[in-house]
Amino acid sequence: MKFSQNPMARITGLVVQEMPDEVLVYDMDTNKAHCLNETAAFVWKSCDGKNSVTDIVREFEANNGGRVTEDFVWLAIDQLHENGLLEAGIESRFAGQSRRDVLKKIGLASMVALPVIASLVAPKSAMAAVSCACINAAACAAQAGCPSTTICNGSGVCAP
Amino acid sequence: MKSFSFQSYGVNVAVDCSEIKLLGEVESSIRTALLGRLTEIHRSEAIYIFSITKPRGELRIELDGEYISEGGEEANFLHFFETMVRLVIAEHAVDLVFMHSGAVVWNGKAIIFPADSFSGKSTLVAEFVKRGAIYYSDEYAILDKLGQLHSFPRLISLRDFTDGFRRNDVSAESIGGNIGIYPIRVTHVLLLRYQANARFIPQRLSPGNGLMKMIPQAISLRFKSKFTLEVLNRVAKSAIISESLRGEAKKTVDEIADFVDKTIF
Repeated sequence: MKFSQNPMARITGLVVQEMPDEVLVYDMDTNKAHCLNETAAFVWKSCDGKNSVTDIVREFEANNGGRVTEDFVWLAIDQLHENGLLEAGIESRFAGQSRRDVLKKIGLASMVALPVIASLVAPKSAMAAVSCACINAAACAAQAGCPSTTICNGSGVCAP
Repeated sequence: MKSFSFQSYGVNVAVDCSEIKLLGEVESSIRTALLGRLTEIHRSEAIYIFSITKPRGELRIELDGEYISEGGEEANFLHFFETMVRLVIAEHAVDLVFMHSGAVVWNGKAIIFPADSFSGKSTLVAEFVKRGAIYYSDEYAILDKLGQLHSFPRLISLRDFTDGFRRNDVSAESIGGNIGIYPIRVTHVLLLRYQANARFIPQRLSPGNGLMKMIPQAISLRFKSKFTLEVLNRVAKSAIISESLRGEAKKTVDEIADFVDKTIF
């Protein structure tokens, strides 16, 4: 994979909701929701395929006041890439290093909030979240949250 | 084939059935399951078409020609089928988001409890209603485009955990409660997880994190992603979203009521 200096945010297949200090991104392809904090959101929005990491550092400092390093921006890019929020072609800057080590290194030197992306997978089927009703055991297989996924009991419930 | 076709919450549905007696039972069951909130339409107007047949002596359900389920005990069939119909309505309801959630209004404040089945929503809702909360739903928080809560006051479905999770449906009135009629702004979203003897200690979530954690319960998400997230965003921006463990229902309701009463908007 080529090491890109001009990361580009993915646009297709995403639904984006702006919040006061966060951005919520729902990935319709993977059924995953991502909550980007202000820092991660800023970097993501700056990934236009034209800005280099150095440009993003400069923009970030101009908009947020504090000084940041390229590693700081790469930490965001790394997470964005990991979560499928960038177009392909980004190689981790921190290959071989644990996230903890990277965070320690950047966090100690940083005066601004570190980029954070929290993620959650939505159930593929609404049945998984809403029902537990069944007429046979097969109907329970897709209902992961029920007391049983293999037994449809005499009350018509996926449960022992 | 005989048909029963109807519109509910803007969704046009037909049920085709090979047996007229069974169709009558299905119609009655659907009317009850949708609280009578339906109007009959012509079969040709239906968008979502269920068919119930008995090809090998066992009941078989299809939706738009795709197999859903077959066989099993007939006694459980109607309950399973009405669940399927409600699900289709919830997924496609026009200008509304159905969230799998309990919902009550306590001292003028609307609380919703988005959670999976069998997480104790109904028990919690029933306990609130016994204390005088206005009952909105034990199954769906129905949210309009402004993020306001509408009631879906079906019978409260309590489960007997010692008897195969058998349902015991009770009306809000029978336990001393009233049913909500008017849309109301959601003030509290509580994401709770049961743990024996746990205390309710609410941890407030940011709007973004709160919205994200409501997503698994938003039934229309896969079909109306943008609209669903816009509505949840409105709720997230105006309500307090907290998560916590919780213990037994009676004690939890005391703790939640105290928390909600102390919140000033």
